[in-house]
Amino acid sequence: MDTRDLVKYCIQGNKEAENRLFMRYGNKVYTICLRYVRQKPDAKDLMQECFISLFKNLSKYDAEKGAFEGWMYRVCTNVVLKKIRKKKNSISFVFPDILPEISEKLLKEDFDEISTEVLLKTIQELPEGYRQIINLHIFEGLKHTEIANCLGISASTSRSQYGRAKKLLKAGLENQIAKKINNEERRLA
Amino acid sequence: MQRRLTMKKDDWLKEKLVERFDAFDSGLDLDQAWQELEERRNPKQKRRGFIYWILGIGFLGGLMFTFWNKDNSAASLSETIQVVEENREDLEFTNQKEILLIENTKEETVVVDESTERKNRIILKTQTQNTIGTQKKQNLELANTNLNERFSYLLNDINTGSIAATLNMTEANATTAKAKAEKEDIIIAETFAERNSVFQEKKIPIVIGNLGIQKVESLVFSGDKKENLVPPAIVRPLKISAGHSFGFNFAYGKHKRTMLAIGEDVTELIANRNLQESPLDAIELNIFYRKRMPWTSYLEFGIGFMQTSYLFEDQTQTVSYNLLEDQITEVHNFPDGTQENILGSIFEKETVTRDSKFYQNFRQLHLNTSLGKEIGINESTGLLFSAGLEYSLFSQIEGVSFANSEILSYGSLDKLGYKSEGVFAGLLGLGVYGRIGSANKIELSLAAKQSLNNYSKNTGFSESRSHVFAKLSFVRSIN
Repeated sequence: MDTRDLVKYCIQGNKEAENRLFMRYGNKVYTICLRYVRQKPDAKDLMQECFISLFKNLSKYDAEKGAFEGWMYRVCTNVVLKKIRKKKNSISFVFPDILPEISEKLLKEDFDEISTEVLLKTIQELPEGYRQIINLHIFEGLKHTEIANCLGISASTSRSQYGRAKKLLKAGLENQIAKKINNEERRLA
Repeated sequence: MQRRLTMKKDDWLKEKLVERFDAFDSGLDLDQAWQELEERRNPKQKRRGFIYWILGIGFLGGLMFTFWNKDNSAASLSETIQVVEENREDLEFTNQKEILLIENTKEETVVVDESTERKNRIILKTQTQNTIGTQKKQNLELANTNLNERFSYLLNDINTGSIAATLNMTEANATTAKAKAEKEDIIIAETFAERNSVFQEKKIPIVIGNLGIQKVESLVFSGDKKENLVPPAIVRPLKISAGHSFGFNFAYGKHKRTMLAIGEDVTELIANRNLQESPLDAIELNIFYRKRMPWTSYLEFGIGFMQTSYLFEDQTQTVSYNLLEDQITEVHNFPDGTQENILGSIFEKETVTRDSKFYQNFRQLHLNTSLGKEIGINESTGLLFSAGLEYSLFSQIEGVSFANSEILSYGSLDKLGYKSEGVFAGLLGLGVYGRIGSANKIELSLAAKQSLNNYSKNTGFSESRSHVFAKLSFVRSIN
């Protein structure tokens, strides 16, 4: 059954269709949530809220305007951001004083050595504001003007903080690679 | 040939990240997650809130029932009067007494018809025995002295021909007024409030009776049978000291939130907010039941609703940052003729101006209990003090940000994520009271409330609330 039919049945209140839609996209939605919050139970809770919102607003989805997946990502991102904003009424950017030198070339070469789990962990460990900017710009594909609206900051701040966020992420990834190399060396020794 | 400088975007990381996460399997047990989602969507789960309601109301009802039925040894004199009224059923009524129209010195005799309802008849009775001992026989006569809106009644002692008592009545309809009077020639203690010592104290004879005229069904009065007639006001303590009363109050005041960060990333914000936040309105409405306790104290149980609101405005802040910016610092030329931009970092100064507004509404339903003490200044006024505890049953918190229209719906309130059921608060009150009529009381007090545990337990910060109210209460005795 294609997604369009699935959505149609879901709107009619068909539980089986809802279950299938959940099974089809549950993993993707959970991954989105995992990128925004650090704890798995929080991510699970957010995922449930995303699906509750999705099922509630399915009738608003217009297949002619675009693919379901894109619309779903947008709804989920809004739910996640809304939740985060409700808890904290401002976003903060804490940048460390000292950042290690990053070898762009080395990182590019070794990137494939890093598992997705470690990537996820590195993103989760970013300070709140940087994590959100990375998620919104890289994964959700929002422009800096849109991010500015979402986070209540100026577009120029979003742009400049994105640069810093990337630096922090790269530094974190390099750190992970260094750890991995150390571990391997210890194992060989 | 001059080659064009081409700009290569440093977006390899973005592409790789998107690619990785697109195929990422989080390892989530989807079947279990679906079950949990279904449980959350199941309306049965939402009924949990009503259980708190039912428990709360049941608790309050149980307490009221318990106190209602408790055999209190310090019962007030009003119970004694009830005993007398019960005895009335066994007495015979005589309908041959005269109602004398005294106005304009014109006398008229009216004989109350036998078919008139009992409550409208003139009642003469002989009280031979009751719980507090009585023994003197006396005939009283009711006389209407004025047919205008205000009525004066005289109670005449038929045996001696002297006036036994007088009473002014209002709100009576002159043309339809039919009076009922009861005479009880009883002896009660000199001290009204000391029932236990009734039989030991020196006794003085007084008159107690009921007078009913359509709109005013029954009014208790008393007087010194001999010479000095005691105004009806002296009877009030009999009613006011009743064991049970109900009431309601309305309070208006100010509240103040104090937030402490216990999570990360919000410390600066909260410290700033505490400085900025201006206390705004709080209103409260309570209904309550009171049980009179010894030594002019009382125990009160109530249920109430409170709403507070505040508008938070950030000061316009201008902050300068030193930001790291990616800049092309070098263009590398490869032997094959291609070029690559080498990115480096420089510091750039940026100035950001922040200006935001946030409005929050807070509604709460709560149970409260308090212990109060009355100190009489005279017969009708006095001071009161109270202290107690409040427990929140249900709350709803809504907010709107006027600065971030994409996040919260612009201009409309949106429910906020945190709950505050189960918060205890300490209560203190200080005020004055005044009695109105025989059974009503009005109180004006200054009340304070302070939360005792965290108001925002599901968030990353700790919040306490303080309130100060001006409170107006109405209390009515029910026996």
